Amino acid sequence: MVYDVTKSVFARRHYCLCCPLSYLSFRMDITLSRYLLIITCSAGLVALSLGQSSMMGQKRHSAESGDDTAVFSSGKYHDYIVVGAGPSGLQLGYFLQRAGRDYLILEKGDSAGTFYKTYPRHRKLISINKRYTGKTNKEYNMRHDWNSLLSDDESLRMTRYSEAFFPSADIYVQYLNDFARKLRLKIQHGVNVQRIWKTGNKKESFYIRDQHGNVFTCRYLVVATGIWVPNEPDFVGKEHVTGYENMTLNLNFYRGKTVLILGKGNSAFETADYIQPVTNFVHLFSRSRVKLAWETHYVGDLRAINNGLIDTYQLKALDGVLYTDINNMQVIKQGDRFSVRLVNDTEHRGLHDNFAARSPYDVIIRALGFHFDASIFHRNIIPKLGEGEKKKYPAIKPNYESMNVEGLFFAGTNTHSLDFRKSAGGFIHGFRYTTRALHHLLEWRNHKIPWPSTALRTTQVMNTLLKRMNEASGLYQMYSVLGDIIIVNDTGAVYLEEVPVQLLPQLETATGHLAPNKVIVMVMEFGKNFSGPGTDPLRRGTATTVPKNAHLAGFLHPVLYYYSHLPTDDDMLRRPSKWILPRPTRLHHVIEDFLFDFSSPVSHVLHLRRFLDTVFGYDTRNYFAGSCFKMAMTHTSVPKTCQDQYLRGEGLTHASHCEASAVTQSTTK
Amino acid sequence: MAGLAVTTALLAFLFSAQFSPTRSERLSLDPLDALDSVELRMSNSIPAHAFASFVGSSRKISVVYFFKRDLSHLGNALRHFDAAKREKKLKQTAQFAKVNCTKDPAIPYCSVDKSHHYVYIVSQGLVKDAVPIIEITEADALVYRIFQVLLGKSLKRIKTEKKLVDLQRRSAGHKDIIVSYQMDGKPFEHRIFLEFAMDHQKQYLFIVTTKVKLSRVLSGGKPASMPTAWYLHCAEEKEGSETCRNTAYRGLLRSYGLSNFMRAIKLPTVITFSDQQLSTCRTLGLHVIYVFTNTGKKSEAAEVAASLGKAFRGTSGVMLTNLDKISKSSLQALGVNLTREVELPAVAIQANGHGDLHFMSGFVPENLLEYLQTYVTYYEALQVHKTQQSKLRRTDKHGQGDVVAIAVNQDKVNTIELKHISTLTDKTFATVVDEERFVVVMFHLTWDVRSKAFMHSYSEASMILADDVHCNVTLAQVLCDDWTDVCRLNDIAAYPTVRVFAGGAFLKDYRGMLDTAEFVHFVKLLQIEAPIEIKSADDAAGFHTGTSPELLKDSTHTSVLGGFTSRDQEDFRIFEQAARYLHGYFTLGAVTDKNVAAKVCSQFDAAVPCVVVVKRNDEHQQHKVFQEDAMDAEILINFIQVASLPVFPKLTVRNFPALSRMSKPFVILFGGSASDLRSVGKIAALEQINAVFSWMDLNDPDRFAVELLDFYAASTDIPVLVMVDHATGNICLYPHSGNFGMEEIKAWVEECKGDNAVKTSKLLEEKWKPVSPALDFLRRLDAVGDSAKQLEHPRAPSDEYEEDEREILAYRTRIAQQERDDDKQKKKEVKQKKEGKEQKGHHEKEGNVAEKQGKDEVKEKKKKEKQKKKEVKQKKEGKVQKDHNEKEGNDAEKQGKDEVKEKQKKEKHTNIEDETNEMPRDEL
Repeated sequence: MVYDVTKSVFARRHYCLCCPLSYLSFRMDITLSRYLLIITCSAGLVALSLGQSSMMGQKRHSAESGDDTAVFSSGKYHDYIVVGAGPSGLQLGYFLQRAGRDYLILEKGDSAGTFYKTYPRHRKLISINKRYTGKTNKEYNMRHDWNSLLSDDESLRMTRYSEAFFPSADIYVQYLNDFARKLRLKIQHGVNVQRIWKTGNKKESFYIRDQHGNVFTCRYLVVATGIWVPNEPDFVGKEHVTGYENMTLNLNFYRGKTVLILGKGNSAFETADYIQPVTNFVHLFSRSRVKLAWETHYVGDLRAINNGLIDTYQLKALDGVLYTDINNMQVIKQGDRFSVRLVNDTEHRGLHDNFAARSPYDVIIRALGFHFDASIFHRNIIPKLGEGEKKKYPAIKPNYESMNVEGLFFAGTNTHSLDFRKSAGGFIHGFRYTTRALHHLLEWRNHKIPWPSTALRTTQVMNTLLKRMNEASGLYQMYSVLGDIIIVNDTGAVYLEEVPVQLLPQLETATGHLAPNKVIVMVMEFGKNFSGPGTDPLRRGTATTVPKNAHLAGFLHPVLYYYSHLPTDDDMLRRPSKWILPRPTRLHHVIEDFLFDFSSPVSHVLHLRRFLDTVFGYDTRNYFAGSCFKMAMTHTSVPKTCQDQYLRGEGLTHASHCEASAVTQSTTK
Repeated sequence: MAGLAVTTALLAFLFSAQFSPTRSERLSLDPLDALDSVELRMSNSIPAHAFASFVGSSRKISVVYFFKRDLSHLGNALRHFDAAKREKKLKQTAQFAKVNCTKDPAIPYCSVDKSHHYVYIVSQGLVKDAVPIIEITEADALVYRIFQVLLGKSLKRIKTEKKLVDLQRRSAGHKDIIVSYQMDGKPFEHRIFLEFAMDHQKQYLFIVTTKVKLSRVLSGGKPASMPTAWYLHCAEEKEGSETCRNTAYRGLLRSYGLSNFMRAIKLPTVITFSDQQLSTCRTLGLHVIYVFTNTGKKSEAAEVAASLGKAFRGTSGVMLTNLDKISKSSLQALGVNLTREVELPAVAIQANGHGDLHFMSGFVPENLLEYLQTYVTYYEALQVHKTQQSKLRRTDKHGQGDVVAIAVNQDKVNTIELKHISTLTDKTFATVVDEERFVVVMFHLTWDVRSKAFMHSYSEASMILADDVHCNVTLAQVLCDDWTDVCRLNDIAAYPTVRVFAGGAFLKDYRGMLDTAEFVHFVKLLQIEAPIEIKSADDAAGFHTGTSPELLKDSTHTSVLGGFTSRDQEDFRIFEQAARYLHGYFTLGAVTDKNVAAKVCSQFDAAVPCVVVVKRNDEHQQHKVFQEDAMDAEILINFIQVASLPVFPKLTVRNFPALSRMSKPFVILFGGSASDLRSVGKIAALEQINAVFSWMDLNDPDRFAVELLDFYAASTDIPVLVMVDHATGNICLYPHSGNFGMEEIKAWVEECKGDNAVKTSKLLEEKWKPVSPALDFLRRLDAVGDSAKQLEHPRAPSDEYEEDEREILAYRTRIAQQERDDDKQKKKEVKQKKEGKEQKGHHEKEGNVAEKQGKDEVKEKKKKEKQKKKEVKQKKEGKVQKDHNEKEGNDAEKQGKDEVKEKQKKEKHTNIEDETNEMPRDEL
């Protein structure tokens, strides 16, 4: 059923107009004639497809998906195609499967998790696998399980796969494949996507060609390929440098050698730690300051588990870190060894005789990270990339859609440009939640199923907020990015969990929930001036304990933004510097807590209640039935809680001692 | 011998004078320092040889303490011991001594084990009482024990009711008794009472008891909450009678109060009105009951007055007032405002002899007694309520406290018994729900105060239900903060949610009061099928009298009976639907046999199909028949809910919500006698007046009636009928007190509903806005800087990253700058030290930035000292130049100080602002 486009243009046209629909999937090259072809093709098919769509097994979607999708072969067409069966691809697959969507995951390897078969090279994951927290709350425990994907199957938790706090990558590959197998995710292995393109000006409908020339088509495309192309800077002598991706792991190779590693991230330090015991010494080249994760609370920075070299550096064990711009570097081969020179070196001008890296190196390893593979896209739809340090990711909108290609969505590490160096969206424990968010967005966008929500009585809003801040994992991992949104209406509130807060101005169109009036957003945030490379997070006085100073708190704590009306896009663009959201009508910081338990009666609950009282505009304190009765008999109306509870016959008459003690307590004071 | 004694004493004195300083110095290193300082003060007041004659004194009783070393924290007890010694009352009758056994071990008691744990009260060589030293927390604790010994036989300490009766029988006919209830930890009151007894021991028999149950007997049911007393009029009783009429003491037990109390009791039971007597009553703080009469009705009035006088002796003065002899105007001059025209004879009460007169309706002695008693209780309860309110207002002036949170969070005493409540997990939840027939699960959160408060009731209920043999139900809880997955599966969105599962499936949520009794009833009624099938007329009778099924007995006062021709009848289907909806709250029984149905319905004068609500708790209306033409489930449910309410219930916290759902005005009878209740009840039962009739009891311990009546009509006659209309906010008082006629009430209700009603007051309007402001973090952020301000120009996506980099850079330069500054400063300081002292003054002036000055103050003090020394030198040397330097330095210092002060002021200012936002400590 694969036709070579170049063979006969005429024949193709002929087929288009009259052939059975199943013959209409082509292998297409990017030729000018293609446009002509497709336009004619679909034009001719309008009439046909209306009558015949049901024949093609596409009935379920015909209503929502227009008319031309039906032309694709049922074998190669899917509503959703997800490229990549890594953690995010599988995660999205799970949600699509659960929602009963027609989807297919394309994976270039012969099983899931191809990236993890190679990386990290030294096979130790640096995501924590915390198996004990002292709590049974599953949502809470996910806060400390950074590897598991979200699913209803409790056997699919990394905590059950490995006892190691930092498990082996091999086990993770096994985990991912179990995830795919147990949940029966639809994955087509061995499909190495070569080219993705679109036809005409249509918003949707993508064509995907693999290495064998098979073409897959879909309405909605989600690229979940991660970033996997090694960064290779251009400098003189780059051919003498070994890449992290193909360096040998045989320690004997490094025995008694002097090694230079280019890079300052986790892979560079991880490599250094691995070879350091057998080398003469290891030098690291870094363009800017080494960023330690515990200083920046950003998991992408250098983690303590990898920073052994800093220790040996500072304890005079020959190893060291040098600040050098690699782009100014030249590597010159001298016999078996390589020496390094800097061009345009302004700092060392005239003083070259004490250049720190003047001794030649036996091995130079490049470990400069990865970038997104944009080469699979046809030049018309090459997604725009981020700016600055974010250029390794495609530039996307808060709804995970490409900036420039409509209908092209991303999932997983790809999407980290949204919260690069801000939150955990580039990592499994973060993007498992953003992937869920993407799924909810797509459900509304494509199928008019609104974002899942809970209707609450006003009096229960506080409890729900407290419960969420004490257990929610998505808010915790994706701090500053995902937030719970409470739409306040006359009768109560609608609670949406873990919505990308950047979407707030488009809340109604993105989630399908109307929010004409009051909206509360709850996010978790670190203090704005708390961290950064070179700051000292261990200094005395980092903790804030007084509720009224909660806004000065440095550690992660819940922050509630209340808007009397949804902010506009412009408000969003003009938001205060360092803020994630525009200036709200009212703001509430819940005081940080060392135990991360926000249920202390005064410090947390009382002030939260007062905040909510001001938002709602009335008193939401609890009353015993007796007090409600008295107020009802002396007033024309009663407080909200009395109205909602007592007058409905659900008042609280505590076992008498309690009410009595309340009176005596307040009288004796 | 005497000379010898003196010399030993002298020697002892010398010894202590000479050696104690050195000793104490040495001992100050000793951890037992406090003890020894007590020992130092512990002079031995009785030498060994004088001891026997001291304790053997026939004139006085002796109070002795034997000091040994091994007791700590004696200081206070001994101080109180000394204070007791100074007590005037005891000067003539008691002598005190402390014996230091370490110095004078010869005294016999020193060798007795633990003798130093007690203070001994000795009379003529015999130990009468031993007061544990730890109980002497104030002087009175010792003093009253001494009084007790002094009173001897004229004071009885009793513990049982039997003993009390016995004593009354023995005194009846000749001697009055004064009984006091005393409690631990209140030695002052104890002492006051015994002191009083000391003065009057000849006239009366005094009894002291510490048993609460005796206080309950004496006050007729209510246990005393503080020390108090009763006067038992035994002398006037017949000999051999077992109880004497008593008059209770009111207020705090104080000596002036006791003497006033005695004076009040001594007043004649009936006083003929006179200016003098009135002022006596007033000074004694008595209520004044006026029996107004004219000469014609005098004898009748005197009779009533006499009976009232006896009943109210000690609390009220009964004044027989002949209006023919004393004019209204002269009465008015004395503060008795007889403005109302009354039919003579009439009775009115004036609380504490002041203020408005409250007339009682009718002139039947029994009724009058009841009304007056009700009024007195009402009035006194009101006083307590008012003082409580004012205290409340003082302590919680913003009224911010969440009372439930306060009660729950401070309740550390009551533990929740979970013996009969299984705590479910993700694993056990499914199995328990599936396997048990009836499972009630409470889903809750540990920190939610409502959940926590209800948990007490839930646990109580679990105990009650576990004891009930007819009940077969499993009570369980799921903690949503531990098992969020279980709660999510059950769609729990409110806490607490109490959910019933039957046979593995969801049945219904509990929607009643969060209260033990109501929840127990709910669970019990759930066990009964909905509806019950009734097969015979006997069954029907058993059902509507509430005797069968067994579980019905105490769980509900209402039975709903339905009679239908067959199970296929549409009405029966509706009935079934209603039964399922009301399952747990009402029991519905259905007769589906045509003949039986006819029989059953006809009992209630209804035709088949019929629905009858039978109310066993309503004496005015035993049943009500459904009479709507069209029957659907909603109408039927509504009918059952409304019809089940008694037509004239006692208005309580519990039934108010149900009554208020009728959206009718409330007509409430306060303080009515039994006959009043009957007559108003009859009117209510006719259901011809569009209002909810109810009554409230002014004697209820919860005081709701008192508070509400005070709110509706601060000074009113009793009994009174009040109408409260929530729709208009009107509150009206029924004008014809005591005359509860159908027509009058009807007219009054209609009138009150109108706009230009004769209302006494209005219900309060309140918006129930938040009571206190939330912390305003925006304002705080604005105060810090402009970080919270919206930008003027929209940001580009790349801005953020650059911002961050900039921030980091700025931070690093700031840190570096600081470090450099610090270094410079250090170097400077070192330099300063090295440089000559003359330059210091100048340096100070230059280098002292106002802020640093504060910190450096300590340093400067040292410098000052140095300068002073210098000054001395200078003066000696006669140089003037340095003075100049110093002045400059001081000026700079002053400036700095001022600035610091200003800063502090500012801080204070902000603090004050903050404090307005701060909550009082008791708000939770």
